[in-house]
Amino acid sequence: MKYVARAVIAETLKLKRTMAWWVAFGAPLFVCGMFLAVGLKMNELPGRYNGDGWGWLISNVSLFWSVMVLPMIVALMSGLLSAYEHNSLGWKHLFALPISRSSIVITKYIAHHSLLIITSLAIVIEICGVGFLINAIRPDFGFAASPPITNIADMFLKYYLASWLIVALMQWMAIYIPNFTATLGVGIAGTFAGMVSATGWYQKLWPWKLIANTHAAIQGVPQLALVVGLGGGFVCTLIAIIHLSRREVL
Amino acid sequence: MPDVISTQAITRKYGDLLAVNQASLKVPEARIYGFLGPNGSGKTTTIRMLLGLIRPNEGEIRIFDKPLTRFRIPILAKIGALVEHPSLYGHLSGRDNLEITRRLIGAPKSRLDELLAQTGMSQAAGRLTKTYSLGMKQRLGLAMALLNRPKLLILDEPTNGLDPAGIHEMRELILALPKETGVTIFLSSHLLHEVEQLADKVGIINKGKLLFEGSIEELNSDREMRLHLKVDKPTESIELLKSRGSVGLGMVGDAIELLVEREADSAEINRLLVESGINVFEVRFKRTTLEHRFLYLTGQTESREEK
Repeated sequence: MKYVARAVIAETLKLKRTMAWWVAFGAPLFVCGMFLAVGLKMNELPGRYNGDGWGWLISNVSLFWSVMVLPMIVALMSGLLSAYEHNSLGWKHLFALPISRSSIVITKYIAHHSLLIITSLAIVIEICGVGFLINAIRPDFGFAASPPITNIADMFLKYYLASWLIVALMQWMAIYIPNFTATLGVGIAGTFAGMVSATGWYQKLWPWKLIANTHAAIQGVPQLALVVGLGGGFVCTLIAIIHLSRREVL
Repeated sequence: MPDVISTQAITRKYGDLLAVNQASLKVPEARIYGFLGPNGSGKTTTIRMLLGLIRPNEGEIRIFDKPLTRFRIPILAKIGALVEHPSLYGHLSGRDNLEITRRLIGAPKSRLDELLAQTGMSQAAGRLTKTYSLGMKQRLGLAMALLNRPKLLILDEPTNGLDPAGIHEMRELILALPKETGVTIFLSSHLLHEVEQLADKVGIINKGKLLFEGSIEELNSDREMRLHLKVDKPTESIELLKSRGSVGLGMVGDAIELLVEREADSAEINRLLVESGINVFEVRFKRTTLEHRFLYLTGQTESREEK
């Protein structure tokens, strides 16, 4: 634990001036900014929102977030957190230091999860902010009630938990393969493959689809998504830590 | 006194390529050990094994009299290393880079300013390292390697890519360290003159094989001395020298050359020739340089050139 603590403190400094912070804060801002712009034109939208502004906002943001934005954030974070080590030949330096190798790999996962928690908190806060702003400008759009903060938090917590499996896989790949484009490419391919409507095991178990599945209307699928996402992610993270800690630095 | 580094027949293969072949090194304490070899000879692979970055396929590595495989962390706690180019985060300043390593190894904060001053990097410490010259990067890399007050410093080609002034500065720094701190330095280089200027003991490696290990004096003492003579009757002279028992006799252009054991032999040979009625126009020694001794050992030249 001593080594992990040291590595985490060092990692916070490495993150200075990196794109990781821009992604963590920028992605929720971009999504909410987009839905603020759309929300201010709600009266012109086809279909009815039945005066439930919060319902409209949460369902749309959460769909966009779970299907596309969060999987893409994971791909970007994986690449970014590894890129500065690959670019600086940092693994060689880190693995020659008197700390356990596993602590270095664990730290990458801690950093990744910390940034995802920050981005998840940011999106929850910003959804509320968008609702308040729309209500301030257009009080007739159905945002007068208090935001269902518990529901929003629960929803985005589940998205985060279900993302563990892709975090484990993507971070593993990003550390092992010194190629940011390859990591990003796999992340994009996985995300888009998750958007394809399908049936059977693919529908239920495709790692990039698990996030959206946490709120699927099919019986048992949300529970399965959480178990596979979180449980599978935990196991996969452990295997990745063992594999990456034992590898040789050539 | 046990050796700081002691390897027993370490071998490392990459597929079919034998990068290091049965190398047994002995690095004594508080000395500068020069690990010499041409590019691709197995120096960096050996260093990577010494730092536990890769594992030998065969053999054992003992550092501070302990096996590296079992005591990796306590051994690395006493080692500072600069392998090839320093690993620096370009988006951070020199001070931040040093601070990251300090946090990782738990060194006291006061070491930062101390080392920045020692390596002459205090002024540039606030600048992003992506703006540094190679020399500055090497100096900062050395500062990082010294953070934990190492008892063993492993430097892989520390002057690679530096300009002459940078090379001079780095050499001065390296030379001062054992005297000031008692650190043992294991320095790899492909430059003989660099090792000659810095090291007390030398290991020469080529194609993964350790070809020589000993002091610079031992390496020097193994050098040949040849006598170069210009005379008016070369054929007669050769017959005369043969009868004297001279070895390595031969014609090189219009001159005679032969091997001698000591400088005093030249006077005796000169007297012998003159007393036999042969005019001697030129007598001079040709000694194989250390460089050619190195090239000969590493198989990079067939003949022994002279100066």
